[in-house]
Amino acid sequence: MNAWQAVWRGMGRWRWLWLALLLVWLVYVPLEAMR
Amino acid sequence: MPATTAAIAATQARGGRRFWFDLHSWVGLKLCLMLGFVFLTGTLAVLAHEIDWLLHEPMRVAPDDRRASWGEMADAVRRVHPHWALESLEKPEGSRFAARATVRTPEGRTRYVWVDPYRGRVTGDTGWFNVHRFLRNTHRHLMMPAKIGIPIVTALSIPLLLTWISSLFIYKRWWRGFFAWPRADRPRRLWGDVHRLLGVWSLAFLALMASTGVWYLVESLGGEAPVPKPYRPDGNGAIAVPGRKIDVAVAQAHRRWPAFDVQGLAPAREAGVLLLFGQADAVLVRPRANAVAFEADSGRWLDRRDALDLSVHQRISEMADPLHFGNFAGLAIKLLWFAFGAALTALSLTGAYLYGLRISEAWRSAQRRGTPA
Repeated sequence: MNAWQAVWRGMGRWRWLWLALLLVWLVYVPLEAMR
Repeated sequence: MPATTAAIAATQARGGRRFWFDLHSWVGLKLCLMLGFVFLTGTLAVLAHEIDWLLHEPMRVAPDDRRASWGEMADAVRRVHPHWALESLEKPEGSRFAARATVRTPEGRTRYVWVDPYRGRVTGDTGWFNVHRFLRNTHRHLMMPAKIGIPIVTALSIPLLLTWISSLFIYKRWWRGFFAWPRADRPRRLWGDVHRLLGVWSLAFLALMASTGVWYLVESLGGEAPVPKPYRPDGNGAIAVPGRKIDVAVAQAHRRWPAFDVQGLAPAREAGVLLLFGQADAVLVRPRANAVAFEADSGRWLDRRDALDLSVHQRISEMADPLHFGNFAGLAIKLLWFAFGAALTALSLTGAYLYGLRISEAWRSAQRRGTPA
């Protein structure tokens, strides 16, 4: 296991929260661009 | 002190530092992705106008001795685009920047028309969604509706403050660390030294970002200062006043308020009123804090708003943006803010990496011993 894998595992359930926010951001970028 | 008491005191001190280390480590690890993303977008946002300047030719002008008047610039925009509503005109970001006119097309789209501030000529137009808009909206509210996104992002200021406070307890005699050059013998030592060096140099800046972040959180939860009266700009109005009348208003503003430096104009919500906004004697305020209102057709002076007359609450509100953005004293300060922002981004990454190094080393040791990690 390398250092970044350890970080990913260490983040636990929080990593899913950040991924969810990232997905929301990705959805809203084109919506804002077209406004 | 007897040896037993000294040993107990040392254990308690270690226990105290252990708590702060665990807190710092937990907050840093769980939030490193989110904090790093917000730091990175904020860092780039400091120079977002400059990035747009590099990408969009209409924003670039060559300086000249002559300066066009505000009226000439407004007339130039309306001459080239007679069917586009001129919503506001703002002074250039720098000496090689064009002035920016915000316009609304007949289809209802917002665009920027760029005007050479020396020659009074339109240099081109660009869309509303540029690098600055992308970075600003990402950093400020993750592109989500602002009512949802701003509290999410600004709430990060609380754990940020916790990492700041805890770092002062973890790093013993941190004030001696400003010139402690990183040692490159082992990765954990190298990155630990880098993290500590970046940390001590970023202490003041981090405190500033956390404090302004807390302020933005307070504002998002209803603690915003009342908008200074009188006269507020109308986001959907248009400047219909001929250029020569704009110049008469600007000349009158200079005569009656010599300290007032016009930085933009916009229509007020009240029909037929033109607002000039800018900087004057008050420090660390946004241009909108100082304003002069004119009756657009007659050029009659209606009122002025001096930022020096604002309440404490309003002044704190005005101070937050210049201090957070680093846009209060030209490119040199912006570059400093950019450097510190990069340091904060690196802090979030090196901190997470240090955790990863510690865990992966422990895992490899356990593997070698044949015991579970």
